Amino acid sequence: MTDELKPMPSPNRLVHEPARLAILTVLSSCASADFVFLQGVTGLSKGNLSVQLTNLETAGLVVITKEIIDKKMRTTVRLTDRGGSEIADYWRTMDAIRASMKGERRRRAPANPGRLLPEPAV
Amino acid sequence: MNSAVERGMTAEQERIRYLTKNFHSLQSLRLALLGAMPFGTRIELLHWHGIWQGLATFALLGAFIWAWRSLPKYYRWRFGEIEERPIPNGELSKGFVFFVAGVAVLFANKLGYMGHHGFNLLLGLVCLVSLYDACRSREKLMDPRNIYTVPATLFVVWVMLFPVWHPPGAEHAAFWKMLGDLAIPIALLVIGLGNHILLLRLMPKRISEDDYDG
Repeated sequence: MTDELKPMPSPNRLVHEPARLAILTVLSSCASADFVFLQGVTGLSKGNLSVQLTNLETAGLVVITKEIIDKKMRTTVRLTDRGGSEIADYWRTMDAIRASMKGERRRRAPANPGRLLPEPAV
Repeated sequence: MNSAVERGMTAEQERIRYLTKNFHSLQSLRLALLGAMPFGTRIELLHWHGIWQGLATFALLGAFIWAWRSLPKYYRWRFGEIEERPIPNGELSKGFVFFVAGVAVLFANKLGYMGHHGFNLLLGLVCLVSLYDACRSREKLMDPRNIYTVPATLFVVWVMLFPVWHPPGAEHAAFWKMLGDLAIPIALLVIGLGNHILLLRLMPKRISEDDYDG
């Protein structure tokens, strides 16, 4: 297989969606976070955040815990081991894409960038 | 993905990561409250006497205790809560050493174990070491908190060390004494309020309405 036909690595679509990526970035930087913090830091509405968290929980990337503290419901979200490895894989894939794009750009760059016009035909 | 979008996403990810990692240390209105306290103790400057001075002192003390107790509730209500990852042992012990060194110097001075210059030199040294710690790596150097913590620390260092090399004359002695007493509270106020403003800027305004469209 030649260099040109090498397949481009593709990121996990479940993680790549901006809202879910923001949630997973928060959870990968701390042990756990509550709903209010996630809402504030991502800027998502309650409904949107709730749906995205349910999607992530269904995929097994996060664990949602609900408890009652001072007569108020408190929702805490934690990254699972699978979620941790998925976000790490995602960043590795993005690095690989960036590296391959840089390589492609370098390969396509003209050998003599000063010469813009083709050689005149004799 | 074009480079502008790529850069934008990276900046957003960096904001989220920085905010989450430093969330607890950015909640520093209590630090500002500690800095404001010495200004409250100078209530005699208002030239109130008798019962009014007593009432004012009592009200200030009550307000201080109320604010001190309410601040954690405010932070929980406005910004939510996170459980941080355990800090590596090295970093924990370094912060602890700075804190203990600073408190030890202040107490030794209060108990009269060191002369005025000894106190100034030691506190100036603690501040210089903490400045070095803030600038020793590229990541720490790029911390946005340095914009106000570094000038505030340099101000304390200047106030502590300048009179050691250039002892003030009799006419300026009172001014330098007042500056020496208020340098640390001013620095605490600046750092505490600066951290809070940074926290407000990093956290977008909460969206209350439910705009999920499926």
